[in-house]
Amino acid sequence: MMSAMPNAHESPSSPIQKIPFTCTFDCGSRCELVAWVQDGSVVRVDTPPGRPDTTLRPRLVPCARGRAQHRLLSVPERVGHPLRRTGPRGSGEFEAVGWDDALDEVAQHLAEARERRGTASVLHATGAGSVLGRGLHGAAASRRFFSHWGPVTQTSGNASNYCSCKAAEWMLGGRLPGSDRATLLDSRLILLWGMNLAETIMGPNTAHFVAQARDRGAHVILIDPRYTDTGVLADQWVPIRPGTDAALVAALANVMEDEGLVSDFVTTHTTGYDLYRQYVQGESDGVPKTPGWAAPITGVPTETIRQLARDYATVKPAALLPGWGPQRSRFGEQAARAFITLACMTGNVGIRGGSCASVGTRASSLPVPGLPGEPHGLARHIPIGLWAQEILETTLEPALSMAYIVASNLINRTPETNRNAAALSTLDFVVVNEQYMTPTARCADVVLPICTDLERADIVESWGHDSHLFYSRQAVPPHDEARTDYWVFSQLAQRLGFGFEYTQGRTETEWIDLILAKAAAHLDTKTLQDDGILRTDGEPRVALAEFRSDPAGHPLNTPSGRIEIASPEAQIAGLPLIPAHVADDAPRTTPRTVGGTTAQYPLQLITPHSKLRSNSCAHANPWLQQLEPHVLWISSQDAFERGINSGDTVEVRSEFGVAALPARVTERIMPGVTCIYQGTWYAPDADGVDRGGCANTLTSQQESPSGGITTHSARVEVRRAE
Amino acid sequence: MEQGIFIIDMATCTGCQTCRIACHDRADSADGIEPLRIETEEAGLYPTPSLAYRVVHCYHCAEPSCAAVCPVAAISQDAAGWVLIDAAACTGCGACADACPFHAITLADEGIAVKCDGCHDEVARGWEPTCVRACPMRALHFEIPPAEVPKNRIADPCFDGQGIEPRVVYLRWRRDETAGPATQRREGAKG
Repeated sequence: MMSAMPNAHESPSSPIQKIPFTCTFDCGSRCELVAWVQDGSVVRVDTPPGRPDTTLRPRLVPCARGRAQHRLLSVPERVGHPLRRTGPRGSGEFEAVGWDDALDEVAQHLAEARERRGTASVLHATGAGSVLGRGLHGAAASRRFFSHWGPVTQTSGNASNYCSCKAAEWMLGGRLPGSDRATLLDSRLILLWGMNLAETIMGPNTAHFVAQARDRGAHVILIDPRYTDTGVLADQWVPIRPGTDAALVAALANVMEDEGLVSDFVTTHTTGYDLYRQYVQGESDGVPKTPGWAAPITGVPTETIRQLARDYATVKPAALLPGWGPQRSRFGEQAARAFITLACMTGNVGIRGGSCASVGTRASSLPVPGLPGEPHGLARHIPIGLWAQEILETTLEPALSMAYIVASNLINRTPETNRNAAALSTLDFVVVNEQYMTPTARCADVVLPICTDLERADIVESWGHDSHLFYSRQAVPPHDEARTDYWVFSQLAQRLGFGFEYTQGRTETEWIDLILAKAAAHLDTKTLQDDGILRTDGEPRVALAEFRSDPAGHPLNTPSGRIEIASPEAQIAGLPLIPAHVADDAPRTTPRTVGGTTAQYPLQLITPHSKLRSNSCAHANPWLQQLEPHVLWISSQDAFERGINSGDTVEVRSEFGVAALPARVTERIMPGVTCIYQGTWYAPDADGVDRGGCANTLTSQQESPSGGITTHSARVEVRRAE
Repeated sequence: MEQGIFIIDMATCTGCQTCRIACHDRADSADGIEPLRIETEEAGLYPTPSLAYRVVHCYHCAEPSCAAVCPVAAISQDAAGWVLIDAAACTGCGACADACPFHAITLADEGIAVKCDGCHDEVARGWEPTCVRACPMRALHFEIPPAEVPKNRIADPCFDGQGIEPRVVYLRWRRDETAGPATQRREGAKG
């Protein structure tokens, strides 16, 4: 009996090899994948069978995006040859050219840019595409190149968790390693605050640990404007208006103060708490931050606020896990600071099953040396959200004239995509290293085809909330003429006269061997080479445990050595000294307006990450696209008022653009709030309406006071399309 | 040989769709032709909506209605109880797809019925079926013999009284109102 399914069939003449690899998406996870390769082609992508789960170190099971990579190998959007633009910028009209011609042209433009205006006139932009903590590809290869070539202009900051990073810097003295996710097994209460871990994942087993904690009796509360897929795991959903998280925290703190529930931890381990207490009790401004004060701001009923405060203050240990959505708002620093403050008030910092409610490090606990770079330093940084503004309204000298974009769908992933596309089109020359013909690649003069994870080898670290290391192997030969970033920059370096300085005479394999040889001093590199993966064992790490047990002996890297609830640096950035709530529409002294009035744009728009993509990576995968349609989430109340039904095409309009996509009328979102998942590809029609429904067509480039991206503070109006 | 049973824990499935992709990849079928689907069950009104995802594939029934209606006897059960379609014999008439109460059979463009084959070859090698080992949430299980229903779950009675014997059990959450932080919460509220 044979199967109806034309499965990959192994035969002696055509064996199937199982090649271990991992994804390098900018997704927050690194998972264990194996490519089934037959006759030089991938026939299937799997996770290694037969490995057991252990309680503290479960298997690293990949998500749909990782598993679907097989299909992504053969999509028509794949770039297979060096391309030179033949039509207008953004038209997508290109001709294939030889590698030598393409590289000569890029090298010539780099040399001309240097001669005419200096190396600083070149914008080097990376990020959100194929990213690695260490390794040879993407930004690692281009950073090394530009560090030898000369100081360029580089995008700085990050679009993911900038405000959380600032909060950690101000309050904890830097981004500290987070607790191992396995410690959630000991939690009795888990607060998922803007944390949609069923979709954003952030560690392959984070949601799995939460589900197990729930099965062991932990209470799980989801605080989010949407009832996300994570709601399946939650006992309670608390809808909250976007941008008001610090107000809810203030009210929780007010209840805790009133009911004598505040932990001594604030006295023994923090500074500045008294200022925050005065704020929440109304001693400093005459307005006690009671549940009655917070309810109309946050949309959370007073009784729910009291219950949340009692739950979090009394059920121990309790883990507050903030997502990155709350801090991607106009005053996102305040949310991020407030979360840490609240964790201190409940005494859940530094204990197993608790959480300090901060952003962890990117760095793995199994560090390996990467490709060295940066002897020149950089000419200057421009904040990632403001690169287009710096091109269009530049005050820089020299002005930017050329962009080299590596592993980044830059126009799609940063706010105000229309403006971003316009900005790129004003430059003299744009080069993009890409795997797929993204909206950014369409704006290029030259597109250089790059290998995917299955077509190259690398050493890949986990994110800081996990502890593993991969030796990701090359499974198949490069698609058509695709090459690695390392190869491309080696070739350019050779043309520009520093080939040996760039390569040190090493091939990629020799670099990997060198990395492994250096790492062998402190890591079991034999297991890494044999199994393709190395994991830590032993007890899970608890963040700030030493500081908790002995704050004087293990001080933080803050001026006081303690957790600083009052932050002078925040004040310098234009924020309150303490984590007070600041309304989204509070007056600002920044040069740009917030993007229309609430009368024009009555609905809030949040733009979270989808389970179908990693930022815009994997957008072109038909298997993923067919899982769920790309829609606007709108509440039944808001839809009714506008005569909108599920499936209707709607036009979503903001101060910055118009996107058209189908509506999904749902009970799973707070009235007054709409949602478009970020990451679909920008596709403007002749009238400038984005038919791709790219969320950033609608978002604003206005930064938070310290420089964070504010893509969850967009305001829109929605109407049924004619 | 004792037959295994699929355990699908809807209390833990977050609808991540990984099993669906993994199954599609194994099947190597055309875009849109998938042996496994996921149904979204939404109910309730704001602010107390409910959500559950239901993974659906061939349940390899003990008395398969699909096999009973196949005019060319292309569907049969093997020794381990897997209900399998002989692609060479299948004419693509679609009778089986109409007969399956779970709509677990799809007709591919080339006129062949496609459905879950239980990953019977992989199970025979000692592996878990593809969907089970693909599940990042460990919401899918394949058990021989079936384990008892965990204390905080109830078996979904969706197939009771239909006179069919699908090899699947759906589990749903059973809230224990007497234990854990919920009690503390009620006490706290009183205080």
